Amino acid sequence: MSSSQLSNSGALSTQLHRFAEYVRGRRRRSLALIIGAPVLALLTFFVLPLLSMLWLSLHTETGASGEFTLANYQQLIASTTYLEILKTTLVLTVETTVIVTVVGYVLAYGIVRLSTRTNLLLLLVILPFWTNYIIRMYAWINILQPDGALSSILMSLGLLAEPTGFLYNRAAVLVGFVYVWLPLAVLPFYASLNNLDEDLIEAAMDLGSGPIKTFLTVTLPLTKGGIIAGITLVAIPTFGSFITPVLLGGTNVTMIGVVIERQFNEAFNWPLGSALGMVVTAFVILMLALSTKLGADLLGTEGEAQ
Amino acid sequence: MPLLDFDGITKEYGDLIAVNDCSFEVFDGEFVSILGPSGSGKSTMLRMISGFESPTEGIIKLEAEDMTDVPPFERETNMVFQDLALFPHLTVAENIEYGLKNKEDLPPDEREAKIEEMLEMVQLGGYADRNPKELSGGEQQRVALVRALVNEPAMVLFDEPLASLDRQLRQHMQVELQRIQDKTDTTFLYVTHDQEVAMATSDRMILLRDGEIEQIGSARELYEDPASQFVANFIGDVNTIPATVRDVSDSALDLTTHAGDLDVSLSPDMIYDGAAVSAGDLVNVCVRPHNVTLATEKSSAEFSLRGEVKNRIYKGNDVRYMIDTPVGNLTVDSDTAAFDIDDTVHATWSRADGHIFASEDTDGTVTEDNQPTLSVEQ
Repeated sequence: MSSSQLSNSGALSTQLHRFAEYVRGRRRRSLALIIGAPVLALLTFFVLPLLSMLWLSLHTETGASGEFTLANYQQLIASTTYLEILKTTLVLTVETTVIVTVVGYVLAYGIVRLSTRTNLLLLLVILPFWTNYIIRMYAWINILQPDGALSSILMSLGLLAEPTGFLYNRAAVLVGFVYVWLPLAVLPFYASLNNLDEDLIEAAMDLGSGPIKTFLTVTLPLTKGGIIAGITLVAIPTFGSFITPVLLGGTNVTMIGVVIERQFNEAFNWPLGSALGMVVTAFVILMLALSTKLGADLLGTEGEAQ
Repeated sequence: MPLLDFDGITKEYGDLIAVNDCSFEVFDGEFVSILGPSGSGKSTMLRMISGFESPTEGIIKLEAEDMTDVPPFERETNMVFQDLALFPHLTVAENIEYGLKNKEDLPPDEREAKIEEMLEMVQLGGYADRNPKELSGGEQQRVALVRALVNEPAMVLFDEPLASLDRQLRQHMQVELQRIQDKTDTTFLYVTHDQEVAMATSDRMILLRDGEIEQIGSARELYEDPASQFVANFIGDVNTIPATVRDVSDSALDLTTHAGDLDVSLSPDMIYDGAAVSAGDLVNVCVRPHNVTLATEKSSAEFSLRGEVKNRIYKGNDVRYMIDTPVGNLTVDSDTAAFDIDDTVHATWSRADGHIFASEDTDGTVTEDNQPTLSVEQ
């Protein structure tokens, strides 16, 4: 009796075990499906093209007849033109990022301070996203061109004698970048500032810190995550951008994105274009690595030495 | 001279009067509690003392200096916040060092020694390099306390920091607070809605109600000699028996009930805030459960009610009886377990233990129907 019961229960447990295995197997299969589809898409549309670009940048021409060469990269380093373009791109990226970060942080700080219940102010910041990027760029062309809005206003104020254009220079490109990326950076700044516990600010003041010192020792370090996120969001697309420098900078401001486009569509030098593309990729990877490292410190459970 | 002079302070938020013409003083070395239900204005008072709010009217003086318009970072007070507000990006030691760094005259090695000494005092030696998040609730409380104390402020302000702790830990921290206050000889001003915490720790309590001070005194004074019905209800348990004033003379107050006259000789100034009561006014007779004596026979005490034991609860030291009387349930704490459920008993108390307060809803006229049915045996 007892032995049959035992064997019964043994059989039952085996059955249960099998069932569990079955469920687990099914779950694993469905999990593989859920993860598999996006992984496959990423492989097909991002990793493979990237690899083929890397391959192309190391060869003389497209297709099987291409031979291995480092000439494309050597050309990049040897030519002052490309180095100059890289420098311009980097400087513009840094300038854009710095301006957007400072202005955006101040803006986000103001919104957090001013908004009580509604986020109307935040909504206003996001409002430009409702209009297409290209249209917004053409709007800036309208403002900055000779006889444009800016010129007219300055003339009516008596600050300008004759119609003047402000397009096709570094400043115009910078204005375009700042205008486009500002709302994007405000969002993470706002989120981190909004999450900041007001009591911590009061605690700092209570312990003898004035407003500036409180900001530097409490507000700034505790919103570091948002600042890093904002900087990353701005720096990466600025470095590789193409439309803004073309429309607002014309031929006077050449950034790396513009050169890549020309190598592919005008010069038909795909290997060199790929090599230039790899430089942008390297910058993106560097930025992401940097932000992950700095961001990880913030999230780290171990107390960090300040 | 008082350390803190809180003088005629009113704080208005638009139409809302959070604090209404309040004055009190705190002396050097005292442990004073500001006690009151939520919304009574106690936190607003603390925030005005720490400098985060400025009063609409009145003057706040600390060490005889007018602090009314001095910003928080220039005040000689330090606060222990309700949710502690420890800096999450700094270690325990760095949290404590934060305030010291703002005092330029202290060299780094002295700062370190001081922090270590303070951590030892609250049994947190060796915790210096931990992150506050790794600490338990009680440990975090102690870090927050030390962060305030280490600056040697004229006064440490507490905004209900113990509210989030469980009862056992809270009681432990109460003892800790007293020990640390004794040791450091610092003045503590403690805001709480928890009368138990306030009674256990304070030299004096300031009881607030709707932005006004109801009574100031020691725990014993507030418990044994409450200034109002509100104080009697807020501090400890109390039985409340409604009655009507029949006659007032210079030395006596005659109360009438449905069942008969209640002749108690109390001077009328024992009525809340000295307001004169006249014949026909509604009053409440209040008595603490432990001041009522139970007996099988009627005694000669001024107050005596006959009733039946409805329930009894053993509380360890004493027994809590629920007595059903003609005026409703009476709660009695007695050290004898001699009475059983359904026993007929006489609940008696002396004149001194029976507090009489003007009823708060005096506009109700007494008719034969709604007249309080206090049945007092004469």
